[in-house]
Amino acid sequence: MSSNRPAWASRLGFILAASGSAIGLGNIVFFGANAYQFGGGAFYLPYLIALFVVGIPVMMLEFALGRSTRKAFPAAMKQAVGAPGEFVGWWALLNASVICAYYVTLLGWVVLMLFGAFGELWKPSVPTPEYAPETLPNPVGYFFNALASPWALVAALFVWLLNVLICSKGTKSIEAAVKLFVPAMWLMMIVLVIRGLTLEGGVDGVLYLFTPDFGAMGQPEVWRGAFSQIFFSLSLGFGLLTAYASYLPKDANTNSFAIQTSLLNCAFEYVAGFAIFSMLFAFAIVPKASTLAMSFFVLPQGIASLPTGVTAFGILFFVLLLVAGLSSSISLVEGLSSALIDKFQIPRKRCLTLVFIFGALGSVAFAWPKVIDGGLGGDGTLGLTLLDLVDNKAFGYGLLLVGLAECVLLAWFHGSGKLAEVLGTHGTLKTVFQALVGVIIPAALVLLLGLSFYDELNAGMYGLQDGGPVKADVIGTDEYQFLAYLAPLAWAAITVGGALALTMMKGRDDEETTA
Amino acid sequence: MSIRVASSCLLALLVVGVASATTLQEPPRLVDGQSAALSFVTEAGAPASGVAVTAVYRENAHASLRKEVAVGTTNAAGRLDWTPEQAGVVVLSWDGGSRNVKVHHDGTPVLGVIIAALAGLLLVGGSAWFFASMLRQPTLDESIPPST
Repeated sequence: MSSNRPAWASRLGFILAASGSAIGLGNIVFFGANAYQFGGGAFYLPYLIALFVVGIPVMMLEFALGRSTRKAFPAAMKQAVGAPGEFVGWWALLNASVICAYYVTLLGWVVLMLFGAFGELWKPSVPTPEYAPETLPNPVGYFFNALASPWALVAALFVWLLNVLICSKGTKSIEAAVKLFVPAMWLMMIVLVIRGLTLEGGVDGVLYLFTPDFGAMGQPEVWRGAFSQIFFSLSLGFGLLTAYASYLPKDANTNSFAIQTSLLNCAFEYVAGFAIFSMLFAFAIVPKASTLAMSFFVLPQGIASLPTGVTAFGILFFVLLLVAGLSSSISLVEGLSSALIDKFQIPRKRCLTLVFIFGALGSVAFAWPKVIDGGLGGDGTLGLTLLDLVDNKAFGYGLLLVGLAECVLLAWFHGSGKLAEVLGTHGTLKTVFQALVGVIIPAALVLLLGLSFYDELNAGMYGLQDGGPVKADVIGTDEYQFLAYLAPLAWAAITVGGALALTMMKGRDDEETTA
Repeated sequence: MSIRVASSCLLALLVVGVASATTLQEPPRLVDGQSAALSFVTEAGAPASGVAVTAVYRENAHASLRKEVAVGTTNAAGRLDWTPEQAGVVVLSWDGGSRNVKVHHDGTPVLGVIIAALAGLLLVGGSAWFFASMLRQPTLDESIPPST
C-alpha cells in the first residue's frame, strides 16, 4: 500500500499544509481573547514556555508516528501499540470530525458576515423581526438575523462543498490550495497589523500584551490558559498531523518540520497579537474570552469605528477568517478520509462523499435556525446552543483526553526510548524528550483536565446550574433543558461508540494479513 | 474555544460606555501612576457632584486577575482626582453609567519591548530561517512518486 500512497510534492507544500492546519480561527481571535483573559503580559511568557515544553515535543511525536508508519492516525497507533492504539486513533479523528461539523457551521456564519461586510453590517442597527418588534445594534443584530435565516444552512453546505473540492485530489489539491491560502493569510494579517499600529494608542495595546506582569504570573489559571492555548492552537490531539506526515518519505527530518510548523503557527499568533491588541486598546474594548464574540462582535465593532476604509477592512477581516478556517477544516476532513481510505481501501471520491454526507448533516444541526429564545436572553438559536454544549465537551475535554491517551500509550506501552530512536534523538536530548512525553506532558494534561472537571463540579453541569435552574446564557427556555444532557451523550456516543465500532470492524489490511 | 455567546456578545457591546444622565467628560491622557482629574456633568451640562466612581482593571479577564477599586466621589465642581494603578483599558463606572478609558504606560516599558523583540526574533526570525533553508533544498525525495 505504501508504494501507492500519495506524497507531498515539496517541503514547502508540506509545511504550508501543516501550518495551515494549525493556523485557524483560534490563532486570530481565540489567541487574542485568551491572552486578554489571562492578563496580556502575564500570559505571554508562560505561553512561550508551553510552546517548548508541550507544543513542539507532542508535534514531533505526531509527525514521527506518521512518517515512520506512513499510515493515518488509527493505523499508525495500531502498528505502535495494537488495538487500544487504534481505538485512540479513531476516537481522536471522530472527535475532530465533530469539531469539524461545527467549525464548518462557524465558517458558514463567517461567509454570511462577509456578505454583510459589503454594507448591511455597518449600519448602526437593524430590525430583528425574528426576535421582537425592535431593532438591535450591529453587529449583533445582523449576526442573529443571519443565524435565524435559512441562509445559515446554505452557507454551511457551501463551505462543506469547498472542503470536499479542496480535498478531492488528495495532497495535490490540498497543496495547491494551501500555497494560495497561507501566504494570503499572512498578507491580510500584515495589512491589519499596519492599520492597527497606525491607530492612536495602537502601540500601547501591543505593549500591554508583551509587558510582563510577574504578580499575575503567579496565578495557576494563567499557566492553565497558556498550556491550553498551545495545545489547541497547534492542532495537537486531533490526529491530523500524523495523517499529513504519513505522506512524507521515510527519511524526512520530521523534527525540523515540527519545530518549523510550531514556530510558524506561533509567529502568526504573534503577528495577530499586534493586530488585535492594537485595536482593543485603540478602541478601548474589554472583550469577553470567546471566539465567537471576538470574531463576530468585538473586532467588527472595532472595524466599524475606523475613521476610513470600514468596508474594505471589514471584507479583508472576514476573508482572512474564512481562508484561515478553510486551511484548518480541510485538514480535519483529510484526517478522517485518509484513515478510512487506509483501513477500508475505498476510493477517495466515495470516502469524501461519505464524510460530506455525515459532516454536512452535523453542520446543518449546528446551523439550525429555530429561535428558542425570543428575548435573546439565551443563545437565540437552537444551532448556537447545540454548538456551545458540544464544543464544551469536544474541545474542552476531548482533545486533552486524546492527547493524554496518546502520550501514555506511546511513551509507556510502545516505549519512549523507541520513539526517541525514531526521532533520531540521542544523549541528553533523548532523556529530555523521554521525560517530557512520558511524565511532564501527561502530568500537565491530567492537571488541566482535573481543573476543568473541578470547575464544572463546583459550578454545576455545563448548560445547567447546580442541576437546578437553567443558565440564561446557555439554554434559553426550560423546554430545551434536555439538550444539556443530550449533547454530551451524543458526543460520547459518536466519538467513543464510533471509535469502538471502527476498531472492531475488519479492514482490507486485516483481510490481506489473514489471507 | 469556549463559546459562550449571548451574554458575552451583549457585554462586548460595551465599547465606549453606556449613555446616562451623568456623563464623564473626555478625560485627559491617562498614564499609569500619574494623577489625573476626571470631570462629570449632568445631562444639562452642570457639574455632577457626589458621584461615586469605581474603576475595574482587566474587566472580563479571569476572576483572579480582575481588580475593582473605589476611586472616590466627585466634589462640588464635579471633579475627582484619580491615579490609575495599571496600564490597559479600565472600566470606570458610576451610578447609571460607565465608560472604558485607556491608561497608557508611564514611558516605554523596556521589558515589554525586549520581550516583544525576542519573541519576534525567535518566532518570526526562526520561521524565516527555516524557510530560507527549506528553499535551498525544496524537494522531499525524488524517489517518491508524485502525488496521486
